[in-house]
Amino acid sequence: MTGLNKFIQRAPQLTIIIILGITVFFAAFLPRLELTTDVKDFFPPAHSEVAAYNEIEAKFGGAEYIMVAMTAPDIFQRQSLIQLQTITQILEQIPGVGQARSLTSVDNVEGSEWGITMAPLIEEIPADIEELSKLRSKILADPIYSGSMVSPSGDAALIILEVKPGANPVDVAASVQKAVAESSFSDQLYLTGTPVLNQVLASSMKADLAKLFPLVLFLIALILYLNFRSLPGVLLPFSTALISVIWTLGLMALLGKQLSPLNAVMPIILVSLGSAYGIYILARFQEEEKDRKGKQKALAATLGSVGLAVLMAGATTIAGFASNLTSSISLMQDFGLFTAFGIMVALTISLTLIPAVLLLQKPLEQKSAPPEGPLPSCLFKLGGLVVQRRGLVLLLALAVIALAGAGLPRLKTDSNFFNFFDPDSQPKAAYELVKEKFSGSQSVEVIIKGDLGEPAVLEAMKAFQDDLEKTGLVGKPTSVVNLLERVNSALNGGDPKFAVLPLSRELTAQYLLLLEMNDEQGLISRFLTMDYQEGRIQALVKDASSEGTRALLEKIGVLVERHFRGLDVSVTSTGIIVLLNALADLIIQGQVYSLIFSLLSVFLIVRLLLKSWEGSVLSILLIFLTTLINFGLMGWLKIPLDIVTVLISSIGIGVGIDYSLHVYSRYREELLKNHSPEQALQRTIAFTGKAIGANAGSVVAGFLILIFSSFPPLRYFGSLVTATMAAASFGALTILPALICFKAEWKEKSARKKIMEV
Amino acid sequence: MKQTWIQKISLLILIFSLFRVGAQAEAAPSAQDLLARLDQAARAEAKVMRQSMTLISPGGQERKREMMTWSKQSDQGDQMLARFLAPADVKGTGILMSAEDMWLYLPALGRARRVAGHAKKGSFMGSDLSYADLEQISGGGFGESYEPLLLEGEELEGTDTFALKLVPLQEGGDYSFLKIWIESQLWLPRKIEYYDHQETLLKHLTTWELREIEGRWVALKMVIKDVQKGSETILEIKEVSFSEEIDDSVFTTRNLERGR
Repeated sequence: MTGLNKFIQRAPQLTIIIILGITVFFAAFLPRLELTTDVKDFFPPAHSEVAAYNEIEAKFGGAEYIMVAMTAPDIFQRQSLIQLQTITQILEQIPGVGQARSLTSVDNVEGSEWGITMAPLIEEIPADIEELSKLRSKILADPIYSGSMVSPSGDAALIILEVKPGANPVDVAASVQKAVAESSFSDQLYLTGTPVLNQVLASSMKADLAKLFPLVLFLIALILYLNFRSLPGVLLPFSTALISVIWTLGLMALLGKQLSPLNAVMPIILVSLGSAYGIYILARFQEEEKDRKGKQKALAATLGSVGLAVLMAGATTIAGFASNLTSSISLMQDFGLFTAFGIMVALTISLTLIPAVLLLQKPLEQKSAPPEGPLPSCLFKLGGLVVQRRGLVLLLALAVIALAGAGLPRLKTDSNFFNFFDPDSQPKAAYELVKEKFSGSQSVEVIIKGDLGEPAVLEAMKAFQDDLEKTGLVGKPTSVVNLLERVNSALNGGDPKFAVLPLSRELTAQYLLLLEMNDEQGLISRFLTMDYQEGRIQALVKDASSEGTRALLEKIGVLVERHFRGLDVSVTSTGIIVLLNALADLIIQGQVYSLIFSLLSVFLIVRLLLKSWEGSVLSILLIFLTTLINFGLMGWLKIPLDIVTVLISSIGIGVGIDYSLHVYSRYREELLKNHSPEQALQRTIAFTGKAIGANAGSVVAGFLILIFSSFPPLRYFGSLVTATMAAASFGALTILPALICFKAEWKEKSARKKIMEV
Repeated sequence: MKQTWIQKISLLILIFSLFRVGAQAEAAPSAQDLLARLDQAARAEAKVMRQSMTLISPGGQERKREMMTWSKQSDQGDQMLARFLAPADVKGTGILMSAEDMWLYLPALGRARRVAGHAKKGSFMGSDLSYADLEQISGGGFGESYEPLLLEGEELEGTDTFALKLVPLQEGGDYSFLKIWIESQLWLPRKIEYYDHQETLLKHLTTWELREIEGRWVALKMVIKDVQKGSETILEIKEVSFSEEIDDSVFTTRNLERGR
């Protein structure tokens, strides 16, 4: 601290220039910063689930689809079919779109007495009503199309767009969205699918940030003004926070890191927490400057006293964020690393730039000294109450803990990105429509490795698919089995009796050859590899929530065991929902580790600072209870633990510990003044109560802005951080003193016992 | 692929004029002349061929098939019979194609069946070539579907080439344009690039192992790479004859059903 102080004292201008230079350097990288919403980016590169997903994408083509649903009173009216055809053709021309499959573009294999027809399902849109109604009954009766490309009631049609390998799904989704919006019947069109969702999420998140960040800045500026009522008082902490945001985001861009829904809140966190350090320094400097002659002396005193405290408060916060490094979710590690970095920057700037500017500028003019009024009587009363009724306080605390504990089993994790949308938002509406009219918009992919030319394997797949469909959890599963059955029936005069698998290996091979001869749309390669050694069964999932996925995967496990046992095949499941499910597991696992890590590291820092076992154990106990309350609250309020709300506990621990520290150090200070523990505690509550309230208020202010976000998880995040801070500060003023009281009493009793024994 | 008498006469005139060009030495040939010569060089009245086709997926899996084809280009229209030799489980599978008809024979099912619809549209046997691509390069010619534009020729694999840009005469095709490099002595295509509707390279075809067989120059190997999908197709001619008389009875369903 002294070395740094000396340098700043000697060369304040140079200090400022260096900091500004670094800021300009990092700011230059800001435009490069990108936002990702791809679920795959959340995983470490070598994660097995992602590897499995990438493998099937490489082998069978994309498993991410953009779906455009079109509604009409009757799809089989000439006008509607023309619209469907028009939009299908438009969408197919979009760069990056591999194929657009809809009723008007798919090929059909049909059999008759004289042979087979391989032709588009609708070769020409019929003009007369009779033909149209014939087409309607033919298609609606066909299980291949009904329920997958047209709703069974005929009032909605689906266009399934495949994203070309190598194309960026989010960019393609943006072009598709534009084309749909420009269509003359856009009110009948609904857009969904993972790429669309990611695209909408990315763009609305940017808009959300652009809206919320200035609000947070304004609010912080307002709080600073109310505190200092001077321009430097506002500008110095404010620029500290801004500089830390610029350095952090600049460093991310420099290292090629991306913002994500998870760390999009980072700028808001940095501004809310980062301005606090400046406040402490500035307030103390004002105080010292009044007492002493000369800035140099005042500054040295400031850095010597509060500088260390700020450093320690910062250290626990950094430890809290750094605890996310133990997560196996890569983006969460990034969040932990860069937020910790940002806090460190804010700390450094507070201890360098602010002193340097203070040295150079004219003495701060205090327009009105901060009112140093009498102790607020209500806080003093609270102190008295806590000390006297400590039993009741602890009893109440135990009740709250029990209540929170009961909420824990209700805690759910959900990593589905659909949670980011309000129920009445456009993406959610489209998602629900596709779910209602068709099976769903996200698929599970069951991969069979083995000899797929073997009739026994194909029969097992068939039985598996039938049973899977019967569970009601998915739409009609599709695989090479369905294609083979269709060809078999077509080559037998279109007789539905022959819609079964071919019996011999040869016939199977020959059917596949025939299908390949006419495979304009690459249908075969979507279900079967070139060497027939691997195939996929694809099914659209009805309930894509984490819970639904877990139930489905469990069921799939049972059915795989039932149908494939004894065969020389291996079966695995993948798909975006499987990835999301794996992500949910990683979230829980990561949360447990990061909780342990943050509690431990914060404990060590506190032990170092307080040099007291009692103080550090009690503080940690309190912050642990606060965290418990947070999770209990989430359980009771049905707020899922997701990629954003998972961050709350590390913030809660890193920041919330400060209140206990304040209370405990003040308590010891008061003890030294020869007060009894009871008196000391009452005084502590009265003295620190106001400061703690003010501090918690300013921290919460930034987070509270998040309730204006358009994303439910960010709103939850804002409210939960607020609740956690409230619990931590209130607990520090009630539960902690009550505990200390008991401890003191117990100590006294055992001391008396010892004396008696002696 | 039926030729009108106008086309025949124009071809004659063309060949005649090319001789004259040759005689007058080195007057720059027009794009139309070059394309016509290319198409002419590829035509064969009769062709019997045993070839293998290897498909390689972007993931590296392979599938290899071998087949025998008999084809004839005549006034009555083009006819083609293809019969698979390998792998064993598809041996005997055959297709018979004439201008209007397509018949299919699957030995495990017995009896030939007529196939209606657009079986000739789309990818050829799951390869990176479409039926149309294959037809153009193996005798059908490009002249009917494309307008040629002269490009700067260059040296490819040590030989001089003419280069043409081929723009489709009709809209709604698979490509926005093609680029083709023609070997200047043998009149064989060395490389063809196919561009998609966004005018980005979709796939390219290269020819290898040029041999003179029965007085004609033939590329025994063709490699087609789909640069967007990452897949690859290798077509190799194992045996070829242009002199064999092919009886019309070859192109009957009865022969198709013989399966060998």
